[in-house]
This record gives sequence, structure tokens and C-alpha cells, in this order.
Amino acid sequence: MSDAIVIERLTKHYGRKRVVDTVSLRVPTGCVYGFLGRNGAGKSTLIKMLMGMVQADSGRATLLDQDSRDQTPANRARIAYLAEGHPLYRGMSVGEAVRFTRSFYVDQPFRAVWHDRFVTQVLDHFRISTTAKIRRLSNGQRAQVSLALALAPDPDLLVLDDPTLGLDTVVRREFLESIIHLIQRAGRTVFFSSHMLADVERVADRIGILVDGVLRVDCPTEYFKTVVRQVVLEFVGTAPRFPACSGLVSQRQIGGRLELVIVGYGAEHEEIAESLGAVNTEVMEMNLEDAFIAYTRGDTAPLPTFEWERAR
Amino acid sequence: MNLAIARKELKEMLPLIVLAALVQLWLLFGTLGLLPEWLGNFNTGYIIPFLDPFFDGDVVMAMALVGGALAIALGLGQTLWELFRGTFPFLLHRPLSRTKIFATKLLVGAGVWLALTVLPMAIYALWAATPGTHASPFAWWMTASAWQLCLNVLLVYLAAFLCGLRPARWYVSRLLPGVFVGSLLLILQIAQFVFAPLGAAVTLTILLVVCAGYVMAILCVAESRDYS
Repeated sequence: MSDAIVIERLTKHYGRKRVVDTVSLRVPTGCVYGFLGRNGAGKSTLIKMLMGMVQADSGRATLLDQDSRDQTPANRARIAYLAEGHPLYRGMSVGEAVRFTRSFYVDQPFRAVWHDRFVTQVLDHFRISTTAKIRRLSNGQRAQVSLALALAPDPDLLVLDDPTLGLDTVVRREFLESIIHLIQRAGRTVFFSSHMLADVERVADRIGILVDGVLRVDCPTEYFKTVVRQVVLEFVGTAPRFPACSGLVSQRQIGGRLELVIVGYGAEHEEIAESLGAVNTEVMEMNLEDAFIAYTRGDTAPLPTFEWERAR
Repeated sequence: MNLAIARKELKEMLPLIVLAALVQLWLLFGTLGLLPEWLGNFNTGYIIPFLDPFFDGDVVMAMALVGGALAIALGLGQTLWELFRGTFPFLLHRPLSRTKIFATKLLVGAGVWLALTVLPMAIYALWAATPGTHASPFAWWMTASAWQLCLNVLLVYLAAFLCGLRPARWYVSRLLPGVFVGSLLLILQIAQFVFAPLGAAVTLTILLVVCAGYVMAILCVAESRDYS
């Protein structure tokens, strides 16, 4: 099966800052891909480049086998895009927004579909009246209207830019469950960005982590959880610095403890720990959130210890 | 032209359009002597339509100024309003080429210009050309400067649209298309009155060429700019 999204060495600068740094990745057709990163990591910029809203400085991306900068209307009709913040025309009522969006998909020279009944069902499910003004809707309701509009053309690819941003916990959970329920069609690909780890863990088959514009992780979600380990080394006296080696993601020194996050912990790392004189080694599994934090936080300066602690 | 986008644009700009239409109607009907005194009747019986502002009661210039103000508000509104609300990604992701989307916006602006600047001017000219409506001579060549003013308004609209659309680091550089149009109109005006007078055909040709250039620039910027 071909890849729904192919990104090759995509790069973007804003001024002197490189916000997306030669990112390459492939999203197989039918995959739910969670794209993670902290605020300002470059997730939205990369998604906007994918959608042709932002021009890349170099590199290229293809969506459903067409260059992202030259998407034909027919191909764009097969791609749903939920931009960050769910922008809709606030002066319109929900019904007007539906009719406005629908007009682009019906009676077109290219093959496009629009499921009126689906929209009605989704709006009924969320108890959103078609006469309600968009500006009077809550963030969550606006997200739900956006979702209904995005899915009505039965897209093959969904690109969601932080769809749960600004939603409270209950609405976020409900929104995600709707997405999971609604996108379950064979062959439909979903690419969504988020900084909510729990959301990603619940839905994504595969994840990518962007750190300062660089794609640091691109693998199946389960694999990521099994391969990343937290290793705690204990020393007599102040812990030394762990030397740079393959798989070392981050290290944090707290008094006589050295907390490491290592990908693929093995014999090489054990040898280094022994050579440093660790008196105790503890290897722990990490959940996605802890692993993500370790990945995106990077090395931190040693934590200070309180004077009374030293005195004990 | 996409009717859904055209309807949306008109609806969003409706308060401005209605306001400008009311002012234009007031100016037109007042000049034609169709309004009661208390609402403003500018027809003193001594006006010579399209002769010059002094004899004309300034109505042509007033209509052009109202059209110009509407043009600026419309041009900026159609672009900056979308940018500030962040709705460009929603609109531009619809299955329609970017050129068609922006061409529709421009056609709506051109339609409003025709209806609220050219049409009142044309009605005024037709009234002036009708025998028995006023005690002064009239020839169609006298209306040339009014049509030039109409084209100026169109150019102002396109400049405002481009100012709103093109990305810029700070306000002054954002306003460059407007500054260029302002300077051009000033030079044309000076050239007509002070230096060797330019023929109306030459002036209109220059204005039409610049208008075409601005339309091309708008479509080019729309295609290439970042919507972040």
C-alpha cells in the first residue's frame, strides 16, 4: 500500500530561526499518526507546509501522491484539514456554515461527495442547533462543527492541527472519542498534532516527536514505549556526568542520583555505569508521557539540593 | 466566480455597503433636487454638472470620496479580516483554486465599485444629459474627469486589497502599494493641470494598465504568501 503522506527534507526558516529542520517522514495509508512536540517545536508550521498554507524553504511533501504546493481541487476534496483553533466564519449560523462548505463539494466537475445526513447526525449527536450562531458556540462546540464539516466529504486523509487545543478535559475526551468512532473507515489516514500525550496514546498507531524543528522520533507507539527506559544510577557522593553514547536521551543529576533516559538500554550502557562506579542501578519502564517529557526537555542543569539535606 | 464566496463577502461587508449606498443616494438625490429641504437639497438651480467642482457643487468629488473610503474599507476588510480571524486556512483548503477564490473576492469588490461609484456617477451624467433638467450646457466629454475619478477609486480598492494581503514586517512597508497609487494619482493630477495636459485617453490607459498590474500582483501574492 502506498504512503498517504511523504515528507522529504522539509525545511522552513522564520528569520534566522530554523523552525522545521530537514524533516523526512512517511505516513502509510490507513495509519493514525500522532505528531508530538512542545509549543513552538514546529508542529503547526510543518502541518501548514503540508497543507500548502506555508511555503517550504526547501524539501517537498506529497499528500495522496500530489505535491503539497500544487494540490488540485479534486485531490483537496479528498483531504480534510482542521486548522488550529477551528477557524470558522463567526458571523454565520451553523446551518449557513454547512451550506457554505457544502457548496464546494456538490455539482463539481471532479468527483466529490458530501454526506448531508452524516452532518445532521453529528450535529444532532452533539446537540448543536443549525440555527445557532458560530460566534455563540463554545470552543468545544466549534471543534465539533469543524469535525462534522471536515468529515462530510468522506475524506481519505485527515490532517488535524492540535484538534483538542483549548478544550476542557471532558470535551476533549468526548471529541477524541468522536474522532476515533468517526474515522474508523478502512484506508483512512489520520495525521494529527498534539501536545496531549494521553490523547495520542489513546489513538495513534505511530508517533513522531519534533524537538526544536528536528524529528527525533518516528516509530510505532508501542515500540516507543517498550524501547525507552529510565535508568537510575546511585553513587556514593556526587553523581558524575554520564558520557555521551548512543541512545542517551537525557540525564539529570540530583545529589548522588543520576537519572538517565536511554533508548535501547543494553550492555554498552551497563559497562559505562560500572566504569563510573555506580553502586546501584535501577531500570524502569516509562509511560509515553514521561518518555515524551524526557525527549523534549533534553539535558537539564543539576538540581540544587537544600542545605539541610546536605547536613543530614 | 464562486457564488458561495461572493455571498459570504457581500454579507460580511453589508454594513459598510449599506452605509456607503445611503450616502451616495443622499448625494445623488440631493443634487438632482429630489430631497426635501430638511434632508439636504443641493440643487440650487445654478449648478453646471461636470464642469468643475466649483460649479458642480462638488458632488462628483464627494461621490468619488465616498467611493474611495468604501474602497479602502472593502479592500482591507476582505483581506485583513480573514487574516485576523484566522479563517484563510479554512477558506483556502476548499477544493477551489486559490486564483478563483481571490478572483471572486476581487469581482465582488469590482461589483460594489460599479454599483456604488460608477452607477451613481452614470445616473448623474444621464440626468445632466437629459434636456430640461438644468439650465446649462452639457457635452459627454465633460464627464471624462468623473470617469477618471471612478478609475482612481478602483485603483484605490486594488491598492487597499494588496496592502491587506501582502505580508510585511511593519506598517509602512505594508502600505507601499497604497503609497505608490497615491503618488501616481497625484502625479497624474499635476500633469493634467500644470504641465502639458495629458489626454484623457492617455490617463485612462495608464490607470487601466496599473489596475491590471495590481490584479496580477494580488493573484501572485495570494498564490505565494504564507498563511500562518
